[in-house]
Amino acid sequence: MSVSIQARHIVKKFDKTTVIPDLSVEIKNGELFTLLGPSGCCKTTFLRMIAGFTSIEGGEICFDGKSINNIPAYARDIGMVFQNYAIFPHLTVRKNIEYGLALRHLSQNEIKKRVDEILSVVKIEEYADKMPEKLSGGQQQRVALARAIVIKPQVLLMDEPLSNLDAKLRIEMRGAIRSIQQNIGITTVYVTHDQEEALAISDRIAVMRSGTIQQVGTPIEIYTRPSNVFVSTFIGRSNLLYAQRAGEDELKFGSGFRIRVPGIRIPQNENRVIAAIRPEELSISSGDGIPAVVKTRTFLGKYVMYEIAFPGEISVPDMPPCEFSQDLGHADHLLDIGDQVFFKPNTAKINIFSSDQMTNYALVR
Amino acid sequence: MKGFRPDIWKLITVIILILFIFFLVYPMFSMLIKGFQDPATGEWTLKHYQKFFNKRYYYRALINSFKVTFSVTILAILVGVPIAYFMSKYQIKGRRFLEIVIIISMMSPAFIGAYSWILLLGRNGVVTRFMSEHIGINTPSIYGFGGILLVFTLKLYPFIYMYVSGALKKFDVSLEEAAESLGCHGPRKLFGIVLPLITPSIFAGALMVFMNSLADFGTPQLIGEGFVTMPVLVYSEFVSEMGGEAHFAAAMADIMIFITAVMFTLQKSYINRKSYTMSSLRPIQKGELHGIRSLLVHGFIYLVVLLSIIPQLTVIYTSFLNTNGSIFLPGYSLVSYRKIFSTLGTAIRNTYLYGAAAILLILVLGVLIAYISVRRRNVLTGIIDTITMMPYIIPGSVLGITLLLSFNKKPVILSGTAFIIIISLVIRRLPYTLRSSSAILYQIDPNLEEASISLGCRPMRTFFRITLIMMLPGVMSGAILSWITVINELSSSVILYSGKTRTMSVAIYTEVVRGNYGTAAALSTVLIVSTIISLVIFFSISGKEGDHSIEL
Repeated sequence: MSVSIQARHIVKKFDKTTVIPDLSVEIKNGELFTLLGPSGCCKTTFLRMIAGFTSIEGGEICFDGKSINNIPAYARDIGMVFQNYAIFPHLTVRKNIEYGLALRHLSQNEIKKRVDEILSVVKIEEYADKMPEKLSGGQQQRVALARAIVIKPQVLLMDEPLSNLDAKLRIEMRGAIRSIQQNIGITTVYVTHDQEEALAISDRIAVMRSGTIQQVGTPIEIYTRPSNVFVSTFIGRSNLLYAQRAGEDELKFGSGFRIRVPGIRIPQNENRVIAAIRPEELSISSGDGIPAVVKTRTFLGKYVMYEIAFPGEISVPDMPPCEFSQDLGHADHLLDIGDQVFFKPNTAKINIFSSDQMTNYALVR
Repeated sequence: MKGFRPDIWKLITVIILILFIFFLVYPMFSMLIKGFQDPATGEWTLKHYQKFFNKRYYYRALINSFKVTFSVTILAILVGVPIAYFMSKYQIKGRRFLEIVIIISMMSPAFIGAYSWILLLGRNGVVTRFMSEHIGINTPSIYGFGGILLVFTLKLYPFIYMYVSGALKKFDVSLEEAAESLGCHGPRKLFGIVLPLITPSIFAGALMVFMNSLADFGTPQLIGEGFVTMPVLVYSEFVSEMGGEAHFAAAMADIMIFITAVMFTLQKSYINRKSYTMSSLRPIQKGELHGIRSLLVHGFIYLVVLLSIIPQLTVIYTSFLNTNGSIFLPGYSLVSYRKIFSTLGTAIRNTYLYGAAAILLILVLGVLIAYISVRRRNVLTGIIDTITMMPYIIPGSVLGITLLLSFNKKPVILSGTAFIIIISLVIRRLPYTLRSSSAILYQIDPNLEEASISLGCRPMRTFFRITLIMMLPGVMSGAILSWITVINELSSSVILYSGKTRTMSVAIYTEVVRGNYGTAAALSTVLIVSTIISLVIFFSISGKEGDHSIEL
């Protein structure tokens, strides 16, 4: 049966180095929960702690409230899908999928029934008696998934399962994983560094950075209301501009252009805040707005992406260049390189971060 | 897992470490120390070394050994590199046959080579007599430096060949093309691009040649006569010192280990500084040879290869001759075989019995050590790794003396037993199996084990069901090399054997010394045939044609 997972004050150390200082998170029964972060953020380490492949130096991990810290990996009743699939190369597809069932002392009939069932769920019936080396990457991925879920584990763990596939297959497989996970309703912890994949597949996402969780939320929450500057730039693109506090809900940009953000409350002691505006949330205005110069133009079919430069010290340094994306479905004319343009942000969508980058005032309103 | 599971692998690590310390490290160090001790008082002294370097009789052996090892190493490179180069670069007729013959001559014991060159070119040799009786030419003496050089070069050039062809197999032809596109061609390309890139491999092979020719006891003992080298001197001093504490022999063994250790370290540090990883996207295409060049290349390769297989052919042929002592009589029969099975049956039985016991231990140790040092690295496995290097620098006869001195008194008396021979075989030949087991383990994805564990399989069961099964091809090909060298082992066994624990190699040696050439030939034939059968199995395991990846 599927379970909920509670991680409480988890600590991970390698020798003397603490890589996860204090991590707590609750994963609901049946949801697809994604750990998303750049490489080195310890998302895989945390996954392997749940699996039992790496030790827990502090805190506890519970399944349905019961601690699993002292249960060895083989007894945790988990299904795991590895980045490189880890299909046993000396066994046929059927033998691979049977492997876990055979250890559970089921009858031959029951084993065959369940294997046949899962083969049809993941759509690889015709390869049942082939050796793994004869299979393509996508097919091997399906075998790995089938092998992990056929034992009806309490939890399904997936460690960057799509990173070895080409772009097209990746999109196809993430759809397949999502629908299979929904059908059998198993609690799934999914690790990836690919934000688009995370947004597409997850019920909820935990964005991680150097061993800590930055934000937990649904894909929409995380994209529209990131909890801090790191999340806003790691998930999608955000143009970061400095702005002066001109009132509790009013900002003034370097040029003197002011906006009101209804409902927001910027504390008095914050003189300079950071406004995060996504490229699609800018619009061209006539005469009134933040001035910018068009630097490059990239035609991408559905839309045109412009690299733009705001004059003065307005944009936050050491960030990727600012961008404006123009939806071709509604654009009147294209901009040219060197054009002077005034931009207005969409005040309903804009996020305002504290000067230390850690608080989103749009979230605490 | 911390805290809740007493890890079986830690226990295995500790047990292996204890075994190594007891049977290898402790004997080694007690012998190293013995070389610096006064036999009577036990005080520290350098007098053994003074004695050694003051008497020409002694230090001459060291000079002789250097003469032999350096000459052989250079000759083996001069013979081995061109053969490897030609075989990789051109289509050579009978390539498969040549490759197999080269490996057979590498794997056959050198002392059989020495013995059969005596049969051919010795004082009573077939060729010698033929030349003087029918042509009136006195062939130069085979005994001494020249003979040793001949035997060693023909037996050891295959090491160079193996390493260099291995490197050339990985050579990417686009490197050569890049050189040509920059206007570099001909000898300049060969010496400027190709040779530097294979130099590390030449050095690796050269070290093997050096070590083997320095440590070999049988060849100089049989064919050297007055030309005494270090292993021969150590052996004879040890045998004459028997009963005493053998301090002088220990001191000479120390000198040998010092030399091998220095060479080993030099080579390792060279390899560490200068090794190139080449991935052959486009391997060398073998070109065709025509006319006089083809003739010369083929002639050279066939001459060397056939010369190197002559000892085996001679031995097999003479084993079917009628003999009386060292005199061959006309007519063919199986007399020699009847004789060995009736009088030397135990030697044959012992060889296979001890070999089987040793190989069993080698298999278990090789797999376990490979596993702990690849998958469970810690301080202890690091120490074990270092200890497993020791056999590379300990000559066989030195190891024999070491073990004998350590286990010939209470509380542990093993001298004269089969056990001590088996131990020496295991120590000496474990590296082959260990190396190939580790090599294959590095290629096995650790996630496979985790996948099995996550599916509910206990770690130990996972090891047997997944890891071990996948390791098997590598383990087996290493084990066969261990096996071949185990059954052919002479230099340590000749020191450790007693009347009851004689092996075939030892029996061949004693029979040759006694002048019983017929029985020696018959025994050698049994050994050669065993070796060839084992090699055939090796090739069928290690697979495809031309892919004889021997991990040396």
